[in-house]
Amino acid sequence: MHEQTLDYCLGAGLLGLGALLWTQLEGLPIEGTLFPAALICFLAVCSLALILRAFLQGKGAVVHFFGETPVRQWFTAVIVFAIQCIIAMYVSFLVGMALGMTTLLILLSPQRTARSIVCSLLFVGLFLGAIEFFFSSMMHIYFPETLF
Amino acid sequence: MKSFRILMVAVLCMVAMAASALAADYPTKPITIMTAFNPGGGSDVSHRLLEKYARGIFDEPLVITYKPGAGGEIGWTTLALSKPDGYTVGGVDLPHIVLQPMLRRKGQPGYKTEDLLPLCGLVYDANVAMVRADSQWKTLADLVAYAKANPGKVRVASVGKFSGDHLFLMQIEKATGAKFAQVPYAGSGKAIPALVTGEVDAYFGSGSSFLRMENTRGLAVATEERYELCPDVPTFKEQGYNIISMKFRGLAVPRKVPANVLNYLESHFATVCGNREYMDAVKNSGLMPAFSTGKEFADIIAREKSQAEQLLKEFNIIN
Amino acid sequence: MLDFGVILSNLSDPLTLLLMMGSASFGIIMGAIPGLSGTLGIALLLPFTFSVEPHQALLMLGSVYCGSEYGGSIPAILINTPGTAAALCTTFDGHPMALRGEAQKALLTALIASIFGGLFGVAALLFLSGPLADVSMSFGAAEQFWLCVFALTIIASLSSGNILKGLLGALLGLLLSCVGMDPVTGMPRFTFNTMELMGGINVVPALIGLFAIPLALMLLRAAGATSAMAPYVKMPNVVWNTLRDFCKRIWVAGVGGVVGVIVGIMPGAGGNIATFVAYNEAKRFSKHPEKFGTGIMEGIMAPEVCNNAVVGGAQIPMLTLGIPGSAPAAVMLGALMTHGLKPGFNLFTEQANIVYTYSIGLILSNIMILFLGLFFVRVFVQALKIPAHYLLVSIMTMGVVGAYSINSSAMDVLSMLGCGIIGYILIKGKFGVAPMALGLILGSTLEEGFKLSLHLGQAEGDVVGYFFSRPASLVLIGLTLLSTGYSVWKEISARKSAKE
Repeated sequence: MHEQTLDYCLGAGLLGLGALLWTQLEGLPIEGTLFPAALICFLAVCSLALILRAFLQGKGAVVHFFGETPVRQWFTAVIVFAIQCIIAMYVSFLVGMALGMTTLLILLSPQRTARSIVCSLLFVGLFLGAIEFFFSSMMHIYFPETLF
Repeated sequence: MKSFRILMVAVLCMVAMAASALAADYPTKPITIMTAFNPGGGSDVSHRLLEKYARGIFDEPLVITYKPGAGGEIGWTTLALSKPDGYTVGGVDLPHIVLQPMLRRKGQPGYKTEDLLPLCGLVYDANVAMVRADSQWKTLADLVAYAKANPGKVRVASVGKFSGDHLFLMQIEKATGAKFAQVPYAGSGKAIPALVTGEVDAYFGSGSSFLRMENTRGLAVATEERYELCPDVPTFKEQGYNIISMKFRGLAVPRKVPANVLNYLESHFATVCGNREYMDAVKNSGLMPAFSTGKEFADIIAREKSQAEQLLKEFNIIN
Repeated sequence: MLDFGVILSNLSDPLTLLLMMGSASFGIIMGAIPGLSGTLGIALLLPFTFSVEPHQALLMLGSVYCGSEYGGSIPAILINTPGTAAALCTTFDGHPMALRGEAQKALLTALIASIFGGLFGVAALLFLSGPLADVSMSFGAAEQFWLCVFALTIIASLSSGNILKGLLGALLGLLLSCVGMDPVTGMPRFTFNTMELMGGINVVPALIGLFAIPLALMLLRAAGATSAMAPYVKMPNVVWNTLRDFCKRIWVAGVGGVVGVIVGIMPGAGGNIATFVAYNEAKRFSKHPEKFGTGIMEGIMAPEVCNNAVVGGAQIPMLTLGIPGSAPAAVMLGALMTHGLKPGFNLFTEQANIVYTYSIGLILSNIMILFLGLFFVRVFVQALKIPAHYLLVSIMTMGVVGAYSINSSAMDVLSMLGCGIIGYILIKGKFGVAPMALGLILGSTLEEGFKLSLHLGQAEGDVVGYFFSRPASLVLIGLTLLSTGYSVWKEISARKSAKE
């Protein structure tokens, strides 16, 4: 896509965000809303200026939104990571992290040989073991384990 | 028949042993004390002292964790929702835990005071009206007279709006009839420098803040009798105003914690709080040690709640 | 009563030195893991200090503080993720240097700069406590507000050529910082009636999201590529060369040190804000400002000297007035009180031995960190040899772990995720993440200063006058105007020369 399109989208998005947040300020006394309201006004003005400038500057350079990565791989990685976080936070930290990390490593390995899979599993095991030791045993920072 | 009876007795013995083993199972891992405020604050110091003197008394170490945010709401809501297995204990502050549910807007989620089961009261902190040592007001009467002559001009620092300090200010305004300009700060760590640097004229707040500062004068302390930690400061009562106001700190657990766990915790904390050295350390940090059992602490909470409710209704803040 | 004999014997005790070394290492590691910070490190080490002497306890905690301010630069350089919020500006020039293969030089520059800053701060603590404490007394709500406004003018410098986008980024950051419960009035804002948003969006998880996640996403390559993130170039004699180059640019270190101490003594403003100001001023006075951001030594020196100088600066009001100048100093204050030491000028007279043992001991601490750092650099730089997909997964995992471990809050992890996506979009849209990060960091301090000044002005009956009448405010307003004026003038002259 071109820079101009991206600028249009972002400008519109910010305007939308401003409108949404404005509705959230209902019912609060002025003491708490003065500062955010001023910010939302500034935001709206600047977003409009951005859209205007994009219009005036015409199509800019081409933007590679996903870089050199194939789109499918990008989305897979993001979705796997999101699921990893959700499972880790709400089901079990160790299970979520282990599943997520192994999946990502196997998906992203350049060559999927038995050796690389074993390496990935070993890496995940050591990594999580070190985290458990350093955080939970030494510093008493416990991770969510609602299953156990 | 006989063998059956022997078998029954044996089974009963085993069950009894298992039951006592289960009961004696607590605690098997460290007990966390959740602080609803940032590290380094007053609650943190109190809990650190508990942890220090709990060594050797508790069978498992006490571990301090932090869950700050929203003036304590996040921590206390987490406490109310945590597993009632006795391994999560939270430090609670009065009047915060009665004020926050009262003042919450409709539709806003959060804990209720009843969701927290009081475990024991630890310390209390009397409120003091203080000014700088070089200020023009030498007594409370001076300050009140000046404020009455110049309503809304005397800048008074308080921690938070609709908080313990604000209630204290409201009580003073009601009793003296003077009107002050409240300047709310986000914490005592911000209010103290404000008084020291002269940004505000007075600070109506915790005695622990008063004791931390140098070059300040306490005009009045809101206790029945003279406060042990600053015996030179006259009480409000002596000067003709019946104002009793203090903050309490204690421990609470989520509801439904089993009774044997509660007993263990209460009795062991009582031992820690009875330690002479611990009590001296607490006094050194500006607080008065005053251990109260779960039931006594619950009574204190109920009393503070009705007092706060009455005050807020009088000032038209709630209906 | 000051007794040099006692101080000397305190500092030459092998146990004390060992404790300091261990604490400094712990501090470096805490700083190096994004999410963990010096504040948390001090809080975690505190129980272990109960069984030692007060001066040993102070030295342990102080070493953690110094170590963490250095440690934060390590991930900032290697994986573009600040280990502590104060290391944010180190990413601007540190990571580009690493991508060029000069990671070792960047890491060593950060190390030498940190030690210089640490020593600078300690010197201020030892020799200028009195006068600087007086200066710190003149900072109030209005000054806090104007300092933040001044810091915001730095956006212009951070987003040269595209100030509109920088402004938008900063506004977004400022708005996000309003989410949650207002600490003073207790009103929930932008929480959509959920408990999770009541705590607001914490700065550190957001920073991890803004910096680490986009980097990780950009490390995704087409399957088949096995390269590591950056070339690992063996550099002979790199330590001496870096030292020599550092000395050639010593004025940058001076700027960083002065800014660090001054902002450090201001209560309410710590390393986060100081490093932005230092970076900006170093860029302004440099002969080649356009090179900042491409990977030059000065860009690392300024923030790293600054954030370590803040360590000394923040402890001046902490020790003399009991008013901590930064968040880690606040925890140290709590630690002081748990050990029965009451801050104030009395501390310097009654407990002079402890105070001076501590201050001089910090010098030793910094020297230890220098040697520890030389060792750590060798270890950490090997991270560049890891294949990209392993590094990517590690970064993302450490991001989750780091974000969660601050407050054991799942919301922090979700904030990190959200800010990660936003950060990626901002980078692709050429907004840059630095302005948004700055807005997030400054938002609550700015609003607090604004609201307090309103209240105080109302009490005096002259709101507008309150904002503009105090001497320290006027200095900051002047700096702000100069800064804006300078940026505007530069933009105009750049456009003019482009036309010719």
